Amino acid sequence: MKNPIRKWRNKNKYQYLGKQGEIVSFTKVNNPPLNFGRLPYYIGIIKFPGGGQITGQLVLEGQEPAIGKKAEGVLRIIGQAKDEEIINYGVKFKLV
Amino acid sequence: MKTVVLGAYQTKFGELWDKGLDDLLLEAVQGAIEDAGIDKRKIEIIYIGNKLAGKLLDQNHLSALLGESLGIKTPSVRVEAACASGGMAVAQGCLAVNSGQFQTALAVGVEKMTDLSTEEISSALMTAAGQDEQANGLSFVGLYALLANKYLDKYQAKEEDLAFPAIKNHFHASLNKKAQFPFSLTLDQVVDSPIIARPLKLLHCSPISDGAAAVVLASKEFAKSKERKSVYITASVQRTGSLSLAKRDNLTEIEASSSASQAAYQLAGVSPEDLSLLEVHDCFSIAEIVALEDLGICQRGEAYYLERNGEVKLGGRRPVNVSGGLKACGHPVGATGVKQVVEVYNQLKGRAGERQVKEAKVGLTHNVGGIGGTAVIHILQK
Amino acid sequence: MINNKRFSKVGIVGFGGYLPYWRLRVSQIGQTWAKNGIDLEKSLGVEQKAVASVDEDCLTMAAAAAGIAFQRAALAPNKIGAVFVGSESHPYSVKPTGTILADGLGLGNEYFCADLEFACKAGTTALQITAGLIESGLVNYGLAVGSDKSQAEPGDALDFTASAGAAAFILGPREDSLVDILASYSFCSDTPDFWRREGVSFPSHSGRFSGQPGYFYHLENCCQKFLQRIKMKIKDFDYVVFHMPNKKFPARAAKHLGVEGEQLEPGLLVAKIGNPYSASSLLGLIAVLEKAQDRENILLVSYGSGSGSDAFFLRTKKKLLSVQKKAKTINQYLKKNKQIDYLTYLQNYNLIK
Repeated sequence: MKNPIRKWRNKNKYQYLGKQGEIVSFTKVNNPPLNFGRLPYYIGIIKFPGGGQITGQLVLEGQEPAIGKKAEGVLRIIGQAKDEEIINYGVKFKLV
Repeated sequence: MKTVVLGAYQTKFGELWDKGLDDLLLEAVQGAIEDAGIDKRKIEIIYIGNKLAGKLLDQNHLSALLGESLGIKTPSVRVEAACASGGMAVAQGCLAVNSGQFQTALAVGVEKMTDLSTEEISSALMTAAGQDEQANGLSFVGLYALLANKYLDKYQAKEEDLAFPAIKNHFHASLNKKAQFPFSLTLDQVVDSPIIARPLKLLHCSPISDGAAAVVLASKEFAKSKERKSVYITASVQRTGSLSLAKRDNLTEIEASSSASQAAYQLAGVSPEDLSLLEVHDCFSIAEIVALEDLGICQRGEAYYLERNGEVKLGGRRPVNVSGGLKACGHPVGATGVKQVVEVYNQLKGRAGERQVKEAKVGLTHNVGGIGGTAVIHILQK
Repeated sequence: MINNKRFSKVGIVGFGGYLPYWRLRVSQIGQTWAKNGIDLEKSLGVEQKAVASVDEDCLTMAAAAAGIAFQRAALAPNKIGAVFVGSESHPYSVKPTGTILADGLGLGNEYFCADLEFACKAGTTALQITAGLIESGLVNYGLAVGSDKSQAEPGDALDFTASAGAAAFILGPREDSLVDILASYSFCSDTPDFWRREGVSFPSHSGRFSGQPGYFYHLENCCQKFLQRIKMKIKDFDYVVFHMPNKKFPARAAKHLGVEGEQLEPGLLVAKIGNPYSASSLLGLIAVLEKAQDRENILLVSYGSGSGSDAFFLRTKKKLLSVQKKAKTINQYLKKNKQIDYLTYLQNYNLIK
């Protein structure tokens, strides 16, 4: 989120930290949009036992992503902020 | 409801370096008015479908822009519904005429995209998607890739199955001199193209395009005075779906399309079996596959067979996207929805040349915004 | 002057370490710069360093370590009344890491906080300040973290050892503690062995001057003066943990001070992870805590350039044993990781422009 105020307003931004969910679908974005760097990344839709379902980037670290696998919320940097911008910290999902 | 389509026109779609937004608008509007055989001052209201001019070209006040070019003072407004802006402009036109307040209306869709870099355009297209999706760096291709992956997994389809809508639509475009890519593609070419977001490859994706299309709509009374055999819009239906893909329980169906089409069939008094042809929203080949299922052309999980077996190709039982679709005719975002109506109109009038569908009587257009946040369906009949 | 006073009310109630997934062999770095990689590994005593992903930094690692500390502590987050993060690589020069960490952990709004910098001893200083606040009774619980995604100029000597990691400690009253903090001491001076000015990407250093007048002078003086105050000898300690810029320095200091191999070994992680600056001695401490028995004495002496050393006398309790395996251990990080090449490392650290 480019605008830091909009991000700050979202009081639920860290609610999935430490929570485990299931991968519903995923893809690898080879051509990132503006301000997301040049390296490809994985992104998916994660479903939670309580019923929530959200979009989030995936952290692989040795694992292969697959529909049905479990992933846990971790704090990471999202995108690449310019020098004068706020760093965008958010929740990504690390395959367990 | 019965709105008469009086005239229609489409510009060439493609990378049109020497045409600006205003040039495209003017060409389409003048072309449609001329085709309708009426004076421009007889147009009582104008709807301009456009998604990106504000973000890409710093131009929002398109109504005044057109008024300036055309030298008219007609009431006019810009209509935006992401990639369904064009279809929405036609829908607003139908509303205006059917309200009884206006005898004629013009719906034009226009987009000028190629002045900017791919990354800028990619980011701009994401304004059709959810905040969360944008914040996490999802691209538009990535969004449909999430849907594609789920579809392949759910119905045990193969990645190769995604190639067939593109191959068919390119064949159709090879017969359409207004198309951006008027040439055929082979299976190998599609399968070997670079991966943009797994499983979607370059040749599964519609291009970045410039172009415009316009239709002149009229009431039955006005058309009677013109003494012509009319083509009517017998259903114009919009529905709204969730903005974000993640907010849906079922990732492989676009509910806005299904519910809009069901209501449209009822209004027009037709069923899917009555359709002579369809123009559907194939922003990505997976989108055409899912659309056929949403529109009741076949059962869930069967559409990819239809694409393989020739049933939806020109000459087959129910041709889909004989214009070349978004993939091969091109996808100037705001223009597409109107172009679809132009194509079906030309087919019903029997003037589609080499790609004429034999005995075309009933056609359906299907225009979607984002990943199904908006769906607009029109049914045209002779 | 520091008063000769012991802590009586404070201990460690939770602790957690974090190491990123990637490792880079020193020999790889050496090869890139046409130096004999294997020789360097031998002379530094460092085989590989832990390096972070492009989307990790001091804050994300601190959060991961703190998460593990909370798993061991079983404490409601809003009980924390102090948050101090020590680092040489805080994400901002102005805007504290501590508040972003506190927000991520759901600590509420009521806590003492500021970011700390004192080169590699900022983490242990965070521990001292937090312990002081608890001892005074101003707060009951506090969070102290040392975390770094260390910067080093590609090809410079530091490039071979500067690594990434985080160590988090939740401190609280003795009634809840797993380890008691019994005493602490510091010894500092203005010594120009290593520095980095505002706005400059990479640190500078004075080569061999970092040794005797830097590391050894402060660490050994701090240690000896501390032991005199608390009237103990090196042999009274079951474990000794020193700051580890490489393997040679702590080994030599150990020799000078009469520390035996078995006392030093358990905390000596540097060969496998390199030097994660503010997390170095603290991760060594966590490795010790994850295997220690009941009622064992630990001596920790850190070193930060610029310069100074912090010393601690810690004593384990029975409760420690019940939480050692309760969360991810250092051993698990040491077992599960992956080698990357130098180019990927440079990309991850945005060093390729």
